[in-house]
Amino acid sequence: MSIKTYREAINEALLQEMKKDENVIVIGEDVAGGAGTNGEQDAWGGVLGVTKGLLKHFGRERIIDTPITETAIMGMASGAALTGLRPVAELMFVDFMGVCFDQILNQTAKFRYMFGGKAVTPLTIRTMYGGGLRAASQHSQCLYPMFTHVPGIKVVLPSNPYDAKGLLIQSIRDNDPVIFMEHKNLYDTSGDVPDESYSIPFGEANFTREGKDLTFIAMGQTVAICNNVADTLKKEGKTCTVLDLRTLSPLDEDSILEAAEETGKVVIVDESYPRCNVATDISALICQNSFDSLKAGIKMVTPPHTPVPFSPPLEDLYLPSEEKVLNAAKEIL
Amino acid sequence: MSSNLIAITMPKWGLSMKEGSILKWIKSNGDNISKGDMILEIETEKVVNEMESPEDGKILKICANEGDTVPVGSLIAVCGKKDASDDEIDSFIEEFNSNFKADINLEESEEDRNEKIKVSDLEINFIKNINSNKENILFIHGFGGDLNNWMFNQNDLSERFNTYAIDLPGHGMSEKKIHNSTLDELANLISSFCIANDVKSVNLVGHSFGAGISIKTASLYPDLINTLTLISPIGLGKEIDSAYIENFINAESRRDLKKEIEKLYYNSDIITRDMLNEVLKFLRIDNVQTTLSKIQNEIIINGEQKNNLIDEINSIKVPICVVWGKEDQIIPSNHHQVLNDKIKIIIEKDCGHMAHIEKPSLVNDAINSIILS
Repeated sequence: MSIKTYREAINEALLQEMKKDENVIVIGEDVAGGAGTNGEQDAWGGVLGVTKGLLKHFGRERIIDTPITETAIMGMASGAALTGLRPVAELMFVDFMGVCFDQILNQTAKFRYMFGGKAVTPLTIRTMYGGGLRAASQHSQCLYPMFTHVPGIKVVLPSNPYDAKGLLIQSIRDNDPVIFMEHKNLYDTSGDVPDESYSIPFGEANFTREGKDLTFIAMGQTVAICNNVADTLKKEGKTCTVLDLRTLSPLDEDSILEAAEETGKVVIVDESYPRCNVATDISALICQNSFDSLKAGIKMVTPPHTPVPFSPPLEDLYLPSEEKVLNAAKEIL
Repeated sequence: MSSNLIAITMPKWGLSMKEGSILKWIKSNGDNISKGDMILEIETEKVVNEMESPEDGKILKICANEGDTVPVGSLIAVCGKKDASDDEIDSFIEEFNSNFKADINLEESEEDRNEKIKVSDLEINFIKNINSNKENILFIHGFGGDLNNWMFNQNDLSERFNTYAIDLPGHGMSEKKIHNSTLDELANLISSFCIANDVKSVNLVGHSFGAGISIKTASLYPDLINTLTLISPIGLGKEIDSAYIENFINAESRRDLKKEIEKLYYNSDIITRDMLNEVLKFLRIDNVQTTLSKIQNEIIINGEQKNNLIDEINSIKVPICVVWGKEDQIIPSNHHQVLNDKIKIIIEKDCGHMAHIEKPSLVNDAINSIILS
């Protein structure tokens, strides 16, 4: 074991899988940087440096810088996956998926089903999501509920470096299209990550805290918020469970219901827009199956139904914060 | 400070333990206690277990209440051989606390203790605790375990003995491959490990599959071995829960795994989610499942035990102690009936396959007395 950042964990997963399987390729805008120029090669390594260093191991054949066209990236990656490659395509910001949604929603997600299981699409789409970086409305969205809504796509939201490496390796080895979503604020967080290669199966939520009084359900970036609030409440004598969903599709319904029934009080923290998001979906799941165990109404901490503000004070007010989560918990404790 | 008063402190169970929570006091203020009595239940990140009284005496004052989480080494109760005045107790507590500083660097200094050594062309991880004693102990864990299985034993026994605990190939932090998983080959590895560490004689403590390796080592290298302590050993009968091994290797989720791990213990309350997560983290590492399957093929054939070590164990000359939980669900404890009468046998009630975790002081006492015999 050694301490690595979230960024390093993702880079190591790509490096190890590319060494293991020559069919794994990386496609995206500036995933190395400098292609076709006399300038510095591997200058970027992706907009936040996640893929930096891969070029020297695998060359331009397998680390492919593309023009600025998300439609072409996704079309190329889907086609490559159908021919037997295992592409890892980078969609720089999830906000840009609008222009390539037909490739993802109507093509990639449907191949296995519509070709009667004869085609597989081992495609991984890595993308950045989330607010807090003062990047304004078109570079700060979450949008994971939109992918979760579509059958045929798997949706992964790692919350920490250990999960990032294991879930990315699983994504690359999986035979279905996977959207692998990295929150911008997590890249510099660090934790224990084994040097060896390992994979974490999809559909298995993780209990990061255990308690008797209340259950937080979280995903991606909001897991750390809930862990901190649970630690604060512990000092005040209340113990809380925190459930990290890890994957939204498939969804670990058993663990959600188990966690909700154990305490009877649930706070769901979701950074995506509040209508038809993960919090509403899970809330419905719990109400349908575990209504008798609930001791209070389910609380949801989400942003308001507006675009993400650019103004720093407004963005801070907009995002779920530890303070908001703590207040929601105290209302039902 | 009055010599009558004794501090009971938060124990350190395993390397990574930094703090523990008081789940329940079994004894109360004013209760008389004897050494070995269960006095309270403690929950750590990895395990829930009962703590035994270190001394005979009387609980004079409980200092950490149920629900409290305190660092390792903190005062949790004051005991005395006889009664003491409140002033005496208060000044004892004050003095203890002024001297006590939770070692916040504990994790760093402890983690460095994992060492790697190349043995039989494999990188083997181990932890040693050398106090220039005469006798050496080497702990060998069972199938699917690791050196942390000895968290209640190694620290304790290190006061009197030099101790080594290893991760077998394919386990813990050792290399995740194995060339040849026969008991003979693993006995060779144990011998090479001792030579590499300049250990000329050793007392082996083995659990289950590790006990099988211990028996084989003693019969192949009689000059190396002083004593054997064997916990629920393989090789003494045909019966074994082969489904446990199969399901353990293939467990995908915490729920699958929990059903299997519960079979290991008489009291399955000992299992925490963190304990299960640690095992899952191990199972997910590349090549672990293949390595474990190789070992499985050396333990099991057609649903029964493959190795018959009865003649070998009965002809070993050194002192042997066998400890078996009466309610062992993996390997039945009645296998002890094939042992000759020179072998000391302890069959413990209310105990499953993991006596060293469920009844640590019984096992530690057994090791102590067989070595000193």
